[in-house]
Amino acid sequence: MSGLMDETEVTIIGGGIMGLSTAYHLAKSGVNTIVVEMDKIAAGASGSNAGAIRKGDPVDPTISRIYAGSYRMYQDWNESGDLGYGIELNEVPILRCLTDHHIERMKYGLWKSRLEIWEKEGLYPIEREEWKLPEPNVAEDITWGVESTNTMINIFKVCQGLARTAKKYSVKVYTYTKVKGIELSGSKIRKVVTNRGEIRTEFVVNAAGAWAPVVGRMVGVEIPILPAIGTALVTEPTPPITNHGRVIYEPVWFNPDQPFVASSEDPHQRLGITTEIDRHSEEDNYVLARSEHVVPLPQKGAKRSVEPETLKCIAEGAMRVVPMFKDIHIVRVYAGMRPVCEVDGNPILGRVEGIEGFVMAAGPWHTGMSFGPMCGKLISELIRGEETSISIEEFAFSRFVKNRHFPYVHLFRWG
Amino acid sequence: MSEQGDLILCRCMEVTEKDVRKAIHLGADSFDAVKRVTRAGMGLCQGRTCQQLVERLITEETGKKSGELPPISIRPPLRPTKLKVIAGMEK
Repeated sequence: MSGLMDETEVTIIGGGIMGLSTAYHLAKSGVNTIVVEMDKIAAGASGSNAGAIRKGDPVDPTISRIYAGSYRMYQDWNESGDLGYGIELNEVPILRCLTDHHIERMKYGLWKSRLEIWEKEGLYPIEREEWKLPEPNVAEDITWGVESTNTMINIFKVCQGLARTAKKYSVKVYTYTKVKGIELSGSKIRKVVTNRGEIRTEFVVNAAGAWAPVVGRMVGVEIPILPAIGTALVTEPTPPITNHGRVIYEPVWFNPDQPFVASSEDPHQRLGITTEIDRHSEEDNYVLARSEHVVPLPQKGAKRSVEPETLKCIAEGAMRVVPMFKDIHIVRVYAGMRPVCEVDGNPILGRVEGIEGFVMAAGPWHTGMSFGPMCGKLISELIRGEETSISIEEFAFSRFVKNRHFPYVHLFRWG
Repeated sequence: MSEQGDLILCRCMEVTEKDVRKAIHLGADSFDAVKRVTRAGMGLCQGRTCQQLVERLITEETGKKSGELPPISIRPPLRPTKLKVIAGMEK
């Protein structure tokens, strides 16, 4: 099908947290905006994560300000009802499980950076007898733990609510609409071509998550984002088995900077299996996760798949930490694709030199729900020609060009 | 359906007709969208009972025809399966 479907100032490709938040903020400033989503709202990473958010970052001050800004928005949305829904913002007690083996290895430098971060946050490994919340069902060899809290939200209510409020401010949201190409006039954005017709537009925001490189190629730009597969299993409703809403276990080999080893013979290492046992305050079931390994770039419309080997490893992991789970039923499994920048793991935000009107808002890896709300505000400021309230220069696409004479620091090694 | 809207459509998660209608008024225009904000269809039967009922309300409230509603996302397993079976420890 062809012909003009619509006309607007800004076309956002992708109906996840990045795109919807950008639409919400643009709409509130009166900018004509369209969102084009190839599936449903939050069909990608925004709809398949645990809903844990961060209030700050102990290492990077800019990222910390962005997280803090997003957290304030979540607080505001939760209280004001601006999204039509409360968003179930809650503090959930979390336990990171450690064994004697971990503690022994830590003396010789294991997880040095992790320990430093914990220290900055006032957290230390504590012996099992001293835990604030006892865990009788956690495996006996978990002799140590780090207790803290995690801030959790309902990701569906956030995304659905952002779409709803953006629409209220006259944003058009075209779901189940595929972008097939982007037309330029010289080096300037002119049109977005979809399977339902063309949209004449001045700006394109690439908020397509793991599919951002597919959109990039439509304007001749190679975007270094890869999909990192996350997999989760949903249990039947059950009375609480753990007292912490989140129980996390990372094996000794786990390295947060390089979460999987593609060449490993051990499937747990190859698929980046760590154990996450989550129970949201307002739910009566558990979600068991997680995996992390990159796969080749998805083709347009490609479906992510759940691999039996990954499920087996996650099931083994959950049973290893809380043996009682072995007789609990799983009712649903799913996978998501975290968009990760393969160069430095940071999102790519802002203008792309050489293509007037093309703006990036993709690639936040694990922390999309923490980046998304504030990034949407910053991108909307940028499009309106204002100075952004937090500088996003360190996340510019140009960082790859600037660094081209240096060897890329590849986070992920291909086997 | 019921006068007060307190009829339970999703027995697994105890979601009422009123909850579903409210979600539709807030823009949820497919079974998946309703499911994600009300939890109808997220329980043990995974929507086998309530899908038709929820979709009927969507067509009623939005004027869409049932053929126009997007397909629901179906994910494995086909029936509730014990974790130890998924781990390959038992058949």
